[in-house]
Amino acid sequence: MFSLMERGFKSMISSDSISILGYSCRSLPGSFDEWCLIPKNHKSIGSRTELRNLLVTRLQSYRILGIEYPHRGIWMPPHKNIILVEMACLATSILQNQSLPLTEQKLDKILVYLAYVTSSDLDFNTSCLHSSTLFDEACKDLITAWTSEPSDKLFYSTPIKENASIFFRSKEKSKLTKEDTSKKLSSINPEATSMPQNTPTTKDSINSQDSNLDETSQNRWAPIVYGRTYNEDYRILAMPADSNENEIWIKSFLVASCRYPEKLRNSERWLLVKTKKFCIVGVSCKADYISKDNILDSSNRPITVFLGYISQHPFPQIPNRDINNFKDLYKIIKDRWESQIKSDRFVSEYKEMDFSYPDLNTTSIDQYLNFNEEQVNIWKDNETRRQLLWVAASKTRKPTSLCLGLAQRKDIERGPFINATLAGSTAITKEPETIFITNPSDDSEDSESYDNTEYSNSPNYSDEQGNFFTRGLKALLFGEEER
Amino acid sequence: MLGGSAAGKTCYMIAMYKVMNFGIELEGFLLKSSNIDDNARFAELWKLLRSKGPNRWPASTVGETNTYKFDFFYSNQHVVSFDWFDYRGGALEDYENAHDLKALRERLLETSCLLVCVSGEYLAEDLDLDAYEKTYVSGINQLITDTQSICEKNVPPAVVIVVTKSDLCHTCPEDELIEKVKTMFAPLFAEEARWLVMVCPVTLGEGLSSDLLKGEIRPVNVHLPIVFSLYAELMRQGWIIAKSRKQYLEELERASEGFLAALFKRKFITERERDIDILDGQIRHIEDHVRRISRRINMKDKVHVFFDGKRIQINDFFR
Repeated sequence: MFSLMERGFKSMISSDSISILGYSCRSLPGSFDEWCLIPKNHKSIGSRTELRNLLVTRLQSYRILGIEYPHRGIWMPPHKNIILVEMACLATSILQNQSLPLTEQKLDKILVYLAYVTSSDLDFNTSCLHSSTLFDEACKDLITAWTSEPSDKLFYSTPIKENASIFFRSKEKSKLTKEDTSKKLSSINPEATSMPQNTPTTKDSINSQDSNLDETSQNRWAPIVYGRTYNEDYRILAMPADSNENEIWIKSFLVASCRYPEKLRNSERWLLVKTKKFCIVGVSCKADYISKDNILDSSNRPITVFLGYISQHPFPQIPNRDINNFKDLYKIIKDRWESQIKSDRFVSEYKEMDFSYPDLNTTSIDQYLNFNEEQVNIWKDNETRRQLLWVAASKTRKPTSLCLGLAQRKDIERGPFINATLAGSTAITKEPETIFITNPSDDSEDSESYDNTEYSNSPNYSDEQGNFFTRGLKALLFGEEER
Repeated sequence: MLGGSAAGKTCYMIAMYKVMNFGIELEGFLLKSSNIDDNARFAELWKLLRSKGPNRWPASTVGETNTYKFDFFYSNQHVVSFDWFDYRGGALEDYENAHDLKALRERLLETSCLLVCVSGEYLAEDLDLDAYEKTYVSGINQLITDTQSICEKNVPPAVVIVVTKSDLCHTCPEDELIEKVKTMFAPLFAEEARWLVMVCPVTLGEGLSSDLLKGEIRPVNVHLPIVFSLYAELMRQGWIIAKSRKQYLEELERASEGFLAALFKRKFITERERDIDILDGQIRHIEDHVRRISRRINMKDKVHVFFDGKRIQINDFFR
């Protein structure tokens, strides 16, 4: 059941106004062993066939994004007066430690789509989208379906219990103005397939379709800090709760911005990442650059930190590359300096911030900013380039990523950023230098390929032992009988 | 390479690379990085290391893993290329819950040699809980046990327990040091476990224990783990080739039985004889390298090698 600890709104919603839709199948939609969950009163939404097709389509949309990590979103189908609050994931994500009599099936090959559907007369509390208990009831229904064995694999979902309405409320009771609500829902872009939580390698995350920046959005940011403390190793020390699902993805950018820390002495490395859903901005530097104390770990080594902020769509204006906008965040590390545990993360909250901002009217080189995740644009690192790129990335509405001042080419080629300046880059003659990303496993490497044919022609082998090695090799390799 | 935070992995890599890049003590063996950036970084960090003062020590490494590619040469001839996977230990610290533990296990199965870094500061005194926690012994042993069960009949990777900062435990008698290591990593020294293990103390300089900022940088033994890894890998390759040769010999014998059989399979027999000649050449090549390593690198008095839990002498194999 939904946790009453979650903040929400009191509601006068009837128990059957919010329904569950669910769908699961083997790795491809439409394959056998699919289960459909639809509400008994589905006729107001569509026929059984229409709903089944809708479910398949929605799952397929998320599947393209890659559902190794769960995705959540809100979708308003065109020409229908309904809202879907949806989730797509692998079965392993929702089963956790539960066991099922599905021993013959590989749970990491079963795809799951779940959604609450209601009329758009209701308002969904979007801040609850990432609540850990939001989809509990829907999951229970799907698990019930899996453990049953009807012939047609079509189930009617149970009506939502009343306390599920914590996450919804009728619009006339809403504390938001109608204008705010409509802005919030319209910003989701009903023509889009989803509000994906993308990985950097997902092509769809670099959709050239502009996101709808709300020019009047509040300037709300939550701190995000990566570093280490005196005793405990590097970790994320501050992040808002609604970013937890994307932790691995976010961490990849923070770690990449801190590589080769020796080159960060007395300098700053700036990071700006935009997706359709959120934006991260911040700076990596040595701790002694911004603080006089709490700067050496227990082995007397200088520490490196990332200090930044994260904001949700619609994005506020991007702050200037001014260390004063960020250095106060070091207090989060100082507060945990003596910590003996790693699970001491500060769950930050979104707040109004008062930053300094760049002048966006300066000429930008937006036309050189790369938005294609299959390539990287590299520039020489100097202050002029940094400012131009920062302004361009600040202004653009397209998803992209930028790191200013990376130290090694390989950190760019193998890292998550698709735009970067390379410190000490005398080799770049044409700007930007564009390189195409290869699969690391296909990397033929910078060096010559040493093909020692004497070793490369080894044929297949049997389990028998050889009998012509030196006594020592035989004894070592072939067992006691040879010794 | 595995090891907990502050085990000395970065410093070990820098010193190892520079020593082997210069060819010191190796008489013809050389190591080169395949990547220009890595080469430049090692050079810069080595320069800092040789300087004196608080800036000499590299910053703590950020991120879970780092990967490097190296090429090993002998007498200007390329012997082997290998990947160096530097894993910092997050999954080892929390063995049951690490999300990348599966990747680490799979990586281990493809590994020729595993370097486990243990700081000598934890071996100077009696072993205590702090020593076990800070060196991630529990996680490493679990990983070893898992690898053992997966390997089954195959030979598990060779292991070098690199006792870093050995200047901090120089007062500990050698035998006592070995016993402590064997206690900590008991699964590696179990009978019939088929682990080939070398225990190798290394240091950046004997004087560092008394003066961290100004002590002289004079690396000791830093090349031995890599040379041993090469030895182990050559042995493994030789084993694979020897098995193939045996198989081919048997096929040849079966094909040659009887006059008519030999007549009709003349082409196959000729091909097999040629294959066996090629394999013989490969084996001689490997044995040649292995003899050079064992003859020119005198490991006898410096390190300890174990197989199936029993101490062995590498030189003994090439009388």
